[in-house]
Amino acid sequence: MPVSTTTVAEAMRPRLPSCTLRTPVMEVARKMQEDGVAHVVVASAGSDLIAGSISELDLLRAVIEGKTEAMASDVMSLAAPATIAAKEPLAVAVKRMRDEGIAFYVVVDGTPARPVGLLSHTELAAYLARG
Amino acid sequence: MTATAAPDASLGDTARTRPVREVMRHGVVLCDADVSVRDVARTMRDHRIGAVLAVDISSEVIGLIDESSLVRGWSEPDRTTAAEIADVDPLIVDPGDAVGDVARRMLDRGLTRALVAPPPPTEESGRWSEWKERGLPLGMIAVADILGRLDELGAAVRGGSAAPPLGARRVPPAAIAATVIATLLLLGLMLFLVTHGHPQTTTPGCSNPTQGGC
Repeated sequence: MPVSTTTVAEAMRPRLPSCTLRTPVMEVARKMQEDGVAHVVVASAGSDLIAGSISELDLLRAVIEGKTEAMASDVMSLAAPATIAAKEPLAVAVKRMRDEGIAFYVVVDGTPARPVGLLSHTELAAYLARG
Repeated sequence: MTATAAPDASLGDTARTRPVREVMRHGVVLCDADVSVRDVARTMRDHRIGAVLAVDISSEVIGLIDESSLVRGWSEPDRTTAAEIADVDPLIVDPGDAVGDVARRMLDRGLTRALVAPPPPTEESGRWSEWKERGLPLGMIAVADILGRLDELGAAVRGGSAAPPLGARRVPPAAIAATVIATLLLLGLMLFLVTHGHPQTTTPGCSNPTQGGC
């Protein structure tokens, strides 16, 4: 299977792991563990609006700083996560990941664009193993 | 020869200090330095593990490969070899290191995983170049391993200064004042009733229907 013709949609996790601004830090850690993901997107309750994201290292920092009673909004990275269209070739996504040091993408689809999945090193590794 | 495994002074009392050996995943999965990137990915999947060690034909360790390293061999996953994508300078920690200390080192370097290997006979290092001084790797510790056991490890990972115990809640002064005022009012009311009230207070209407006195 030639890797260059496949799209992001074929490799992505077809669900975006997310929490709200008020989700407790410990619950975010549990969710990450259960879902087997290293990144969780933080959204305002009941909307697609992404306020930030939380990585494993963000959570580790929170624990080191004793912020285990805090909420997602207290420990999240405010930088908007990189987005990529589901129809985009996978090779383009990987190249951008390498060139720009992107850890994960929020995969979007449709007009207006809505988040439909997650693409990180974990999904890429799993895709590579399938091929 | 000096004594090894100096206790970590920055982590408060020993009860809250846990050595990495009690928390790490014991054992490592090896792969041949010459296998393809795709085979490395399959090895990870089959072992349900996030990282493998690449070794050459004489069992010399070449480097660590995790999920993010695989991206380096993406364009030609069947031709690129494990040796070409391996990280030759991973974070290496001693099994006796405090888990809180290792957590901070992972955070400082922006790494989600550390290799655990016996300490070199000389002084501490943590550099891959000194790999030969260390014994065979014993296992790995990942940030996810720590996050998955926060109930147990939270205190050991928390920063050096002792955090105030969460259970000891201080009662706010306003609540104390309110209680005092309420008590005084109640006492005043009781005093008033004793001095001015009738011995038997009667209420209009039927207060006790079973006696049929209404």
